[in-house]
Amino acid sequence: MKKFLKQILIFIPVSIITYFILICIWGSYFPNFLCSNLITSKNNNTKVRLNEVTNYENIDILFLGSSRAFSTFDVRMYEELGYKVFNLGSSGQSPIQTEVLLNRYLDKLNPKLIIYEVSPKVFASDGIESATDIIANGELDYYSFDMAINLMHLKILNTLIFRIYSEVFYKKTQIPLSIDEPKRTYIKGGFVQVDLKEYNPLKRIGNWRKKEMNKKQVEAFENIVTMAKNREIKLSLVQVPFTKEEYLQYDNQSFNEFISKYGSYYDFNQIELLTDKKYFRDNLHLNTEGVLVFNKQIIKQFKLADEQIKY
Amino acid sequence: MLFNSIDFAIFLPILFVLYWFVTNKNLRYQNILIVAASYIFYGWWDWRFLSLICFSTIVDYTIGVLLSKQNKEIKRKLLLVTSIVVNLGFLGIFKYYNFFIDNFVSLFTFFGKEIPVYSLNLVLPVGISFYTFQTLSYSIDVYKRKLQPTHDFIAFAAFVSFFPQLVAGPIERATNLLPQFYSKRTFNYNKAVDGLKQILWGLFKKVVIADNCAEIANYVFDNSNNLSASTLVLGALCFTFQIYGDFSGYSDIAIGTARLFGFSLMKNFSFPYFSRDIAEFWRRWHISLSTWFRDYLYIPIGGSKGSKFKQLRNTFVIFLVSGFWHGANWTFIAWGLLNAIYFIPLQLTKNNRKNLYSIIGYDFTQKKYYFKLFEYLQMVITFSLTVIAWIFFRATEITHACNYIISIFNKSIFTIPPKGLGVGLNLSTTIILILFFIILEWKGRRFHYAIESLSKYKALRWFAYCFIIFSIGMYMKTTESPFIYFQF
Repeated sequence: MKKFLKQILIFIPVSIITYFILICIWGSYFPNFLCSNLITSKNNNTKVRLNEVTNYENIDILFLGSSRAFSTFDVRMYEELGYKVFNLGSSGQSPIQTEVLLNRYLDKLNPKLIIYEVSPKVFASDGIESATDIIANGELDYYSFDMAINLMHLKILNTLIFRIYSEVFYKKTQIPLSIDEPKRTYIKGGFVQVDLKEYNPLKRIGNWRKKEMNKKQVEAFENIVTMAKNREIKLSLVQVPFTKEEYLQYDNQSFNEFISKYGSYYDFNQIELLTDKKYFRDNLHLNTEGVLVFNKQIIKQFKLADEQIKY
Repeated sequence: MLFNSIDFAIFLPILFVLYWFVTNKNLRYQNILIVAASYIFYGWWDWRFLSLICFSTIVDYTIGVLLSKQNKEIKRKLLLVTSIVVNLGFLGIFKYYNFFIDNFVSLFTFFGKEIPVYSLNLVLPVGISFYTFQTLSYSIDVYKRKLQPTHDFIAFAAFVSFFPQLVAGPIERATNLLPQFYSKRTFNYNKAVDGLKQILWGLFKKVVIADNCAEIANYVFDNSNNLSASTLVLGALCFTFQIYGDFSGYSDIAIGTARLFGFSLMKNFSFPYFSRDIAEFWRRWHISLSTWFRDYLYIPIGGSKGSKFKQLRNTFVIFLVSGFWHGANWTFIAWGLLNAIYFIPLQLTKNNRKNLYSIIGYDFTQKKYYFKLFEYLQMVITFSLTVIAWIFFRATEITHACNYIISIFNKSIFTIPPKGLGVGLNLSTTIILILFFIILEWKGRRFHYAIESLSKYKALRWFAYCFIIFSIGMYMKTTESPFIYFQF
């Protein structure tokens, strides 16, 4: 038995070290499709955005949310009205990641208004996709570790190991404002313009339209609301339109009742504005024409063009 | 509790410490600990079904004791029948009641007579088919005087509920497992290390191979009407590796776990996809069930003795019952029937007992490797036949399976399946993982399990184990998925 326990005690650290080494080798030399449970840093919109955001401070409007935020809230339309804005959305961003980003950047950005894109989809998500995206492409700080521990997921752990390795051994290079994503253009200020007009519904397998709210997401969301309240920042919650078929997949009544308790909430699915599929590029995202119509509606709704109301 | 869960990862070391450090001085305490741990393990799913195991344990223990005191043949037979009725009764109610009622109603409806339906809304207790057969083997062996009935209730309860193999086998014979609960267990370093290795390999098979294949197989089978022939072939292949990885992975973890506690369980899989004919396949696939049916059904009804007609009848009976054992669905019966059809030509030409002492390319009697091209051709044909049979096993209905097979035979067989099958599945990775798996299985095919003897150099062996751990971390599906055979 002694020999067995001794061998186990030696094998455990050996296997952990080997695991770390293999993660670093895989992340450095193997193509993405062979890294199933590891997300490595790419020249994607999150990386560029999280690099660019450090240049901003004391802005008027901050946009938050998932890809339905960063590819919808076109910063140029607000800048034309004289606002200083930044779109801090990221892929699959759920309240857990929003909280991390706000902890990291809110004091410096110090916005007067936050427009936060919410939907039943993100509240039901486990937040893994977005967490790996933010860990792989953002800063490595206390909040990253805290989020990794909170979510405790193999994919996040692997991503974090590789991120630490990259931080130590890779030379930091100047991050360009362009992104390596087809038909997508990064616009200064965080918006991503997607040049896809044709409607092409997203097909995914598994339970990707989960309906039950994730308790951790609700907790993080409440922290976000408190954070805004404590800093006297106006927080507006917005649900960007889905296609009608997609919208009907969720328990909208319960969600709307829940979310409206936390502040001013606008469900743009209930406003007969973008019901036609010609405004969508897939079931979740608006296309260029939809983005234009939607932002005009936001400007109208929030009376942003009104000179008397300047945030 | 699932083997591939965090719960089990915590449960196992705690139990190991209690077993070898706290209760090691007293065999009875060790057996009590095993019973308690097994009931916790099983109750983790649904504690209500523990009552079934308890009841089955009490009934078969009592029948065993009564059999030992009874010499009159008629009374002994009555006791055996009681055990069979009780055990198969539970199985019948929970597993087959609704199937028979539904088919009964359909039959009457077909002849134009409407009858009321009394179907039950029952949840199938996990592993009922496994522990039922295990307890039955005890009663039958005691009745046949092959085994002395036990008077140690705790040992018997531990035998019935032994957690590593309780829910998905191997279905142990009382003659093999029960005596192990009477004898003092001493810790054996080599056995324990071997156990850990087998657990690791089983885990890899389940969470890497089976779960990755499952994602593709599920998608293809669920959408088989709209997919190309080449995609359907890919789906069937993925299911073939899914079911092997899933079930043999479970068996490996079960056998390895038992070894950690000083028990030897029977081998359940022996590289079945390297078989050269279907008879060899059945000697290598789910061995504990095949041999159970052979000993308690096939031989008692005559086996390979008697007229040709009787031999064929017996073969059909055993394959059909084996199919039906898997589930109350016509697809399983069709799967059994198809395997019988594969088997019959071998039986008629008396070729069903070839390849007993070798595995492809290796002769156990001469202990040397050899090469015969013809055998590789036989292996490919056998594997292809098996893949076709699995389509029936996986399909939801017989018509689904037939349509699936018909759809394979068209021009689109020569097309390349779309990238990610159009829904973002990781096809290339899964194919690479399957190839890696086949290579390791092929290299280790003369051993009990693929990684039993990797290298004589410790550093290389350890690196290989570390690499398997890494592969699990890199390629496992991160949502816990139950083992397929739990539903049986």
